[in-house]
Amino acid sequence: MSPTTASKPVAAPAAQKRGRASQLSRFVQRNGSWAVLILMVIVMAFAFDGFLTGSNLGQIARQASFYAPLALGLTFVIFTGGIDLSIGSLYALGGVIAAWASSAGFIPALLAPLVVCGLIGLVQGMIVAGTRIPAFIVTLAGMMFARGLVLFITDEGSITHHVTASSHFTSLANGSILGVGLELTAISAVVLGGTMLTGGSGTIIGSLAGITILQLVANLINRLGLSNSNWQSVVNGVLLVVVAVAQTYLSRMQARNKGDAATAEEAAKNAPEPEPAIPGT
Amino acid sequence: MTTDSSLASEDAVTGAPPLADPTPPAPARNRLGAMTWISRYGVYVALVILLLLNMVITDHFMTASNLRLQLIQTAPTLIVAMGMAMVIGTKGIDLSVGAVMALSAAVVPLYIGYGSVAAILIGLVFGIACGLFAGFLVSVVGLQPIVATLSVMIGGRGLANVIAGSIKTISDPGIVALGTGSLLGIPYSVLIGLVVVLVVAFLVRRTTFGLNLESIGANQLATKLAGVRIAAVLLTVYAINGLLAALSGIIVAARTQASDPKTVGLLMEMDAIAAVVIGGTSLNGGKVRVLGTVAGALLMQLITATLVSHNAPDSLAQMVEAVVIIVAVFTQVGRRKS
Repeated sequence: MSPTTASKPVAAPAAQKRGRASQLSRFVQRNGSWAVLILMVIVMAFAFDGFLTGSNLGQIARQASFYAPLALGLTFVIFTGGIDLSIGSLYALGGVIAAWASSAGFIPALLAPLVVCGLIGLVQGMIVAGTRIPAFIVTLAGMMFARGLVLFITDEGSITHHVTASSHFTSLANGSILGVGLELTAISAVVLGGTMLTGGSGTIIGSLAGITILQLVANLINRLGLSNSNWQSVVNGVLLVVVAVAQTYLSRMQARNKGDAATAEEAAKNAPEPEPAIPGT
Repeated sequence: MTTDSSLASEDAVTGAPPLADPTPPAPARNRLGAMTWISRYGVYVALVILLLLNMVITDHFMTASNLRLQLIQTAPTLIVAMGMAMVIGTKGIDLSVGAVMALSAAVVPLYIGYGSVAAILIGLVFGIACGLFAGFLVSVVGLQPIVATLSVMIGGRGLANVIAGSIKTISDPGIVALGTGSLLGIPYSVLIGLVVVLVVAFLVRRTTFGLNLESIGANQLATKLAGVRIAAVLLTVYAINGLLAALSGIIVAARTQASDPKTVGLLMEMDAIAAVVIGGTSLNGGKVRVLGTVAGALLMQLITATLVSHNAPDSLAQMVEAVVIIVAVFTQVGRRKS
């Protein structure tokens, strides 16, 4: 149903205006991340020498590709109005299992982590689908379980399973790298990419933009001489607040332009399930 | 709303004898009643069973020093869980408590020059500030609690790392005394935990604030229409929660005589939520169970202690805890009806 038909008591020109505002806010929501990304690239290209070099851009892309699978998988989960807090720990678990299984050859090292982590994901999904336990509780418990399993396999973190196949694997396999905070980076990226945390709307390509924005921020932090890499998570937290607040206002604007503003807002505030927050879509 | 109404009708069914329509199958009804009973009182039964079991199978369990140790280890979780119970009572959630603990623990060593009391107070102020910020996002801006507190969780731990840099040892005599001293044989941290429990119980059971808090959780719109200033109540709840998290962080730092921003309060949000939920407080809000939360925190600690004292590794205890949490929440919310 179109916005104009929903607000029929209003005079036609006003309704038209509202329809345009609604379209605009939806456009911003869907494409804002790309606009921000392009703007950041332009500004940084002018501000810093050596930004637009192949090696620098290549490095940013390489780092972004490292996080991209996490963010892409999470985008699907958040589409459904759920959340997955366990992915950082599963990432660590996958690395440790790969290293552990690598003694049996390359194929087991590749398949074992996919099977184990996939199974844990499947069990979590079955619990979310089959019970009324909130997704964040299920996946927080999953996070705890996966971390416990990582510690168990590495004999309480004291053993490092080494692999000689590639240096990348070795760094992953260290039991002390628990993937702490990776799920948070991924959530930030997905939200930055314009996916609503209430579910129901968003784009995969936006999540890619979100991940790239976070890598640009990391690059920026380096260039500004903030030697402490922990600024990254401070900035991530701030970005998450800003985007979540912007999304709240954008979706309220859409709701307001679709019908009675007060009821829409109350519905959004009081709804136990996120679906009523986006009426009519 | 579907969960609320179905839970309410469930209560009505178990509470009052059915006047009409006795045809529906009785076993299903009994099972639902049993689930509700388990989610409310199961924690006490489990606690007693585990205590009795430990008396039999664990050597030196009923010694004063062991019980003291168990209480000391429960205290930080218990303090955080008290604040969490209030937040969950409003149908909210706070994922930032662990990060707030790390932040306050990181701040204290910086201001130790002003004296231990001043440093602790500044640490607590940081906690209140974090709580107010999350509360503002929830009550005024209208973000979902999980999103608002997630951002504080991300930013807070980052800030703790930025502020502290690395592990700092704490040698200030005042702070060390807080971590190791005791009054009449009871450690300070346990005493503080006890006071926190009593204060929260008073707030929730004996004040208008407590009534408003629970009614927001039960039905926010109705509470608003009744003239309660929702934003003020929510801000207070999140501020108290931040304060208690900061207090817990300082106690952890004092006990270990070190402040490590990477490990203080790690996974504490999970432990606190677990204690609250296992204690019978519903994630749907509307009711704060203080005594149940105390029992929940003790039960989680006892499960870990039982496993560890029988040579099970920490990692296994952690996995068992994860399963216990899922089972506990399941007894509350049940299956999804399709």
